[in-house]
Amino acid sequence: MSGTLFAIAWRNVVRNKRRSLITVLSVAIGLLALLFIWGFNDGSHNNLMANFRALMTGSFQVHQADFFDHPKLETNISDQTVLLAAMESAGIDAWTTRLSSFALSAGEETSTGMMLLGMDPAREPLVTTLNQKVSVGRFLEPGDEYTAVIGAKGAAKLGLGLGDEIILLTQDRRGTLTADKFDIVGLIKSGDPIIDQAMVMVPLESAQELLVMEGRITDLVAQVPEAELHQIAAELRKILEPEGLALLEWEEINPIIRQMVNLDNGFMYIFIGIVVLIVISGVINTVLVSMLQRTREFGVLMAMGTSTGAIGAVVLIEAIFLGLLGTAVGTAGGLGLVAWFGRTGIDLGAMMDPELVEILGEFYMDTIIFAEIDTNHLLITVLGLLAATIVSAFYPAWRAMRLEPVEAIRHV
Amino acid sequence: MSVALGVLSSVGVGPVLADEEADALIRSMEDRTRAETNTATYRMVVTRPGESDREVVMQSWDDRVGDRSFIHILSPRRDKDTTFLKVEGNLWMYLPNLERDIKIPPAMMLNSWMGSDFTNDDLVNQSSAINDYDNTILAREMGADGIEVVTIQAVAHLDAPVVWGRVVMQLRMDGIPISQQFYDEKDVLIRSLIFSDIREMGGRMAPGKMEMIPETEPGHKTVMYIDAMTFDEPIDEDIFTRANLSRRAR
Amino acid sequence: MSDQRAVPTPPSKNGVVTLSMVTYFLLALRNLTRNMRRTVLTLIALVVAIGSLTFMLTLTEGYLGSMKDNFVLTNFGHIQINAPGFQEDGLIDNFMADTGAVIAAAQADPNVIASSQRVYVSGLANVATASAAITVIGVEPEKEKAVTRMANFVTDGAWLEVGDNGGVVLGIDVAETLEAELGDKVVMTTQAPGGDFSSQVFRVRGIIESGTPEIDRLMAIVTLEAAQTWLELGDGATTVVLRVDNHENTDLVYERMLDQLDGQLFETQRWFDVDPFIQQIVESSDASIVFILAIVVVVVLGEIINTMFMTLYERTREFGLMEALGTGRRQLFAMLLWETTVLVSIGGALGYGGAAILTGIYGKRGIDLTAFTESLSSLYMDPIIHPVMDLKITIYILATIAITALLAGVLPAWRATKLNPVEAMRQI
Repeated sequence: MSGTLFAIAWRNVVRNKRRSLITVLSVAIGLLALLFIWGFNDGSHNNLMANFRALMTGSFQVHQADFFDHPKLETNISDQTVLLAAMESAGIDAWTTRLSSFALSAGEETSTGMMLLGMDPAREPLVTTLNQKVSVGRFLEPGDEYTAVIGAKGAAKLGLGLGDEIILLTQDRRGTLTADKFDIVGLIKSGDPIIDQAMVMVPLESAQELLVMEGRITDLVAQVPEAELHQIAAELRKILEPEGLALLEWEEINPIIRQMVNLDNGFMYIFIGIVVLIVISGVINTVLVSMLQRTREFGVLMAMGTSTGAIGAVVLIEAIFLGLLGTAVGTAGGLGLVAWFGRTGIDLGAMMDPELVEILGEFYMDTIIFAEIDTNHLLITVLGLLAATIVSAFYPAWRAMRLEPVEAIRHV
Repeated sequence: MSVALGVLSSVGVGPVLADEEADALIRSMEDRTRAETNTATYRMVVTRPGESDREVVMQSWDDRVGDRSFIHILSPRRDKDTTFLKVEGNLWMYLPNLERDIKIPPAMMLNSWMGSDFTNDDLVNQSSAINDYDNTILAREMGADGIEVVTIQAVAHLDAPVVWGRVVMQLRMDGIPISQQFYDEKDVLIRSLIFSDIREMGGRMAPGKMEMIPETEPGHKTVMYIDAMTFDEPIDEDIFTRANLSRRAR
Repeated sequence: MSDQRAVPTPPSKNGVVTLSMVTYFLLALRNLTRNMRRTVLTLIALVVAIGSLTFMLTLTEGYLGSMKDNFVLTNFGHIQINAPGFQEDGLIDNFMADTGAVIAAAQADPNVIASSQRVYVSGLANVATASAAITVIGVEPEKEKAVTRMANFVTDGAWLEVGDNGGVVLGIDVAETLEAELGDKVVMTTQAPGGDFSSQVFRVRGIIESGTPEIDRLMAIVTLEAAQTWLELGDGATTVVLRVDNHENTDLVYERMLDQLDGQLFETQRWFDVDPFIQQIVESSDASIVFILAIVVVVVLGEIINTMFMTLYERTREFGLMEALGTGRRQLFAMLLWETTVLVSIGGALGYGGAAILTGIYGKRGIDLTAFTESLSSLYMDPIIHPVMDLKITIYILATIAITALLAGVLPAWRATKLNPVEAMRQI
């Protein structure tokens, strides 16, 4: 008997193209809209996080244990053999080493505290995009000695520009105050306030010499594909921890970005809830109407002996078919939109005024967003909407079951 | 200025109330070891675990009364001709490779001086030698060479800008110091200073060797050897000027 | 004909027919009530859509507001007044010797709730075994409480009492570096204006943990008096902090201060002039609202336009009849458009009203999201959000309703006018 019910339900669906189409569209449009927003949402988040990782932090960093919590030059990686071997065996090519400390930068009249970063000019561009953020001059180059690249705002604060000398006063590894002059070869404008105002980058060898840290580093920074990060990190930790080295993923280093993304996603889920509710009421509306239009038909069927259960079941199954179709269409359409915008990109710059575009820069966002959708977001949305349409079918089905055959037949 | 001897004077004279004899003894120690002015050549050896000892040779001019001092680093080569000037409550530093001097702000004066176990506070001597401690005599004993040795306890005043809770010192009745122990407010022994090699310098007997041992860092030690010292000879005013910072480098 | 319902005949004047707005309105109502069930169902979709959209907006407004509050009231205040250039260089030499004019202006201003003075100077904190670079902040213990919530973040010990010029409250990271506990003495060294080093001893009265690095990693809070004596500032200060009655009035007070205070002596800044981070989050959130509204309109349209068309088909015969009886195309169009407009407006109004009520209820109580959020402290967010209704939100919602009504109504109405009366009447 149930086979027949399905057949009947399907035939009803096909018989009433217009009604079915309307219901299917109800669901499809809702799902499509949601998937499109997710595409934008996830696309911009992934863009944000990727840019953040690429600018300076990297996918992960390795330090001497305790260095991150208590940064001191004494807590350094003096022997990098094991570390570099681990990188090679993991097949990671995009890594670089740094020396990070704190220095007082002095210009003519003023001085200000800054982060001092010794960077490997040959390897740093393999890992980060800092070298692309140079607004004036150039980035550090192999062979440089005692050159400096500094944030543009920081330089302005000190009254210094390209070609000027900057004095960096700092403590070397033994605690002795030491200082030296560096030639400013480039100014950086990254959007990140800390980089732009409070950071000075010098060649790694020069920093090592100044700080009496020859052959030593404080950080190793590496980039790996985000999808593989957790696994790579877990494997590397097994090798590195016994050596007294700590590996930190980018989210642990700067949790604020992830927090922002989570907050956004949280609101996104609320929004999905809203859309689901709208779709449910829409579906109930159309299914109910379509059911009521067939009151007479149901009445006749019941008079001929069809049970109310069967009637209800048919209505339910119809609605489920329509829901599935709608979900399928919506998913296909939504994914299609995401794929298309994934290739073409959504140009925010065209839509927003220039001020906001600059703000985006500070948020690590590009003006062109390529849509993407995270798999779990996709699944939750599709399944959620599907469940919603099935739930919406219950009320009309129940109403159908309560029809009185005689009155129903009389219905016009 | 004498770096380490600055330490001595920072644990200086307390108010007359405490114990007049204790105060008098400490005053005599100051006079003997620092006088009103002194010039000296020091050799400082810093020991750290896992590394070879580091030796720094320096010349210093100390105007105790005027609270001014000048230091010129002679070796090692890396630090050669680095100079420090303390005058009018400011600290200046000159590095030859910089070809200019820098005023050192408080935030950069993180504890250790030149990476040794003597602190910047010992150097700058901000904690005034006067009125910061109550001094009392704890014990007296006869020393090996027939000179009485006195143990004095200096308890820091609650409102004195000194990090120590109390300092216990052993010194001879003739004013020559033997040792000092520095305790924090919770009475934990933080560091010990031991004087030895008492010999004639600049016309008087004074310790030629000072050993600073941080009790909380095993394997760390700094020894200051006084290679030569003169007392109360007039010092040219020009020494305590910023211009002098770069002059030494030539 | 079986249809018993009367079709209104429009009055005409010289062949030009006009119906009054009231007529259209009543017509709309009656036509809507003809099919109560469908109307109600569509209304439900509308109420849900507009209502939840409104509520989402009030939630967003609420959390953005609390972000601003947290940022402003933790440390900075709404407005700060310094000596010119001080905000840039932070040098103690650049202090205001006489803040009288500023205090007077602040107290006279009707929108300034409270003001307090501060001294900022950088320095070094020493204990026997460690040292840490710090920013010393001299505050007025009681007045500060009226301006910012700093005092609430003391996790250990207590905030400073008025007159306790030997006490210091340390940021938690500073205290950790120094391994300093309550009651310990800390010797702090700074440079007074003119450059002389000066050391003072303070005792730890409390430890402060705010979640913000400016406070936790650097601050050593002492009393204003202590700082003034120590640095020989007399009655001077480096900064006056103002708290304004609400965020919207910040610009107003800012302009007034600029007017009243001599620009040579005093530099006035709003919180977002100095640190635009939170403001940027607010603005980008505003920008995305339009986007969200657009999507909701699309989805709602997707749902109700079906109903509109269904209605259209069902009433084809009726429309045909009307046109045959002389109803002009324009009137038909207008009538249908009115129907949609009334429907959407009622639904929208009910949705808005419902959301407003919810906002009222939860606005006080707050919605506790602790279950969903891990730490959001670096975003200055509390896990408890209080939704807030706003004129801006009302306007957005009205606009959304209007646009939805128009878009939902125009297409079916236009289709209706395309009907050929004769064919239409033949429809069943």
